[in-house]
Amino acid sequence: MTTTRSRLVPRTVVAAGVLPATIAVAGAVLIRGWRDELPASVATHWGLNGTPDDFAGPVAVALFVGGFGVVAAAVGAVLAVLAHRDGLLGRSVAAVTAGTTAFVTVLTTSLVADQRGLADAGEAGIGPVPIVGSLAAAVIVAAVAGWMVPPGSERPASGLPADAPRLQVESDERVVWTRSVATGSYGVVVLVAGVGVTVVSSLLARQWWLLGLAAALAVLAVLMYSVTVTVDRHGLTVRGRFGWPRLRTPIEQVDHAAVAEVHPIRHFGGYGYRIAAFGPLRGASGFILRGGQGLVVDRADGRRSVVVVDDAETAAGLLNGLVQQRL
Amino acid sequence: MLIRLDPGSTEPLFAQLAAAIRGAVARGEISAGERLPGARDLADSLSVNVHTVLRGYQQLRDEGVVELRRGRGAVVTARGAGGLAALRQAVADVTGQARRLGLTVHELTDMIRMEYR
Repeated sequence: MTTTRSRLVPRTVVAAGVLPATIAVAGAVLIRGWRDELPASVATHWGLNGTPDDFAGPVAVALFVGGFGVVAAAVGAVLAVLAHRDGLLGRSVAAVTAGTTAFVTVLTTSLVADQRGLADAGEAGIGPVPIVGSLAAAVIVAAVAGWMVPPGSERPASGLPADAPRLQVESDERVVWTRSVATGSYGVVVLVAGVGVTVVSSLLARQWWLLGLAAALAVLAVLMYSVTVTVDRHGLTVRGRFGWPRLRTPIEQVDHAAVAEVHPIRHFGGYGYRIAAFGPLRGASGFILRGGQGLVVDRADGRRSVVVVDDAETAAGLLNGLVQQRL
Repeated sequence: MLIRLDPGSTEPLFAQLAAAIRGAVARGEISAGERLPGARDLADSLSVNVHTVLRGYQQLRDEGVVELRRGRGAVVTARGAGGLAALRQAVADVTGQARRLGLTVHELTDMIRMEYR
């Protein structure tokens, strides 16, 4: 555990700071290196009809790419180090910082690269390839950054607190607790609004690829509309209505379970699969389909899983009983 | 819904399972139209044979608490959630008490008949 601790901060700095800064500086150097092949001012923004409507000098573009990346990396590194003890939070900050920087850098660099050899940047076109390519690059870089930051592991396993709910489980007894939970009405409003806004923007802007994004959002919303929570000899399992997504916390990894009041917007910033950025559950991750009592599972590795479900008290008691039975 | 099965009990496992689910429906923990867990998943959780679970579900169907539909599994009926499960549970409690007191089925039904007047 001590080795993980000492390596955690440097790894976080590399993932959230050094990695995005390097990508941004590399993009800036490339763009500056092409300045002799580029028009005096390059297109930097396109209107809805696909013709460029804003221009800048190549050196200014290079400075923007490098400057954006360096500032984002500095802010990201500080935030990620501050959050690196809070479960998945440090990992998420690193992934978002590195991914966003990669998206901006790759998009700008590839749009500028396409303008090499043009006499007039007014002829510069824009196609789906740079956008899709930079999204793909962003996802890959975000995954690498996230992989580099291990989930925070500094909350020591504390064992079962005296006041924790607990159900006695006999050695030969067969037990299971299961309950399904559906997205609350506020959550449905938020999800429908999200899909609706994407569809309307797509139609207004005639950006048809946005319809694909709306469809993907709708599919995710349907898959996560309701989940089934099961506590049994295997541990805690949360399963979507159609079997996916499926998250399992094995019983060997459960330190103890408790019940907590969950505020979706205030602490988790919305509904669905979420990581808490604020509040007492900071760093905990799991399914927040509505507000209310949630089952909170502290894992032996310091991570925290949370799921809002009715009768979480019984679920927590049974998990604690099953953990005690194994001892 | 909490299901606890005691393999040492004289009551068969499938009947214990049906009683636990009936109780959960009676208490409103599962509502009308809601699906029970898949028989295979539940059998795995409880480390019992899948036929034990199916037999428990069949008993609940015979009681009118659930419907068994091909491909959809066991779904709680409106009648079951609307009081039938609670009544079934009350009848099971009454029968158990009558047995403990050594009453015959005739004596018990006579008592119920009198109550109905």
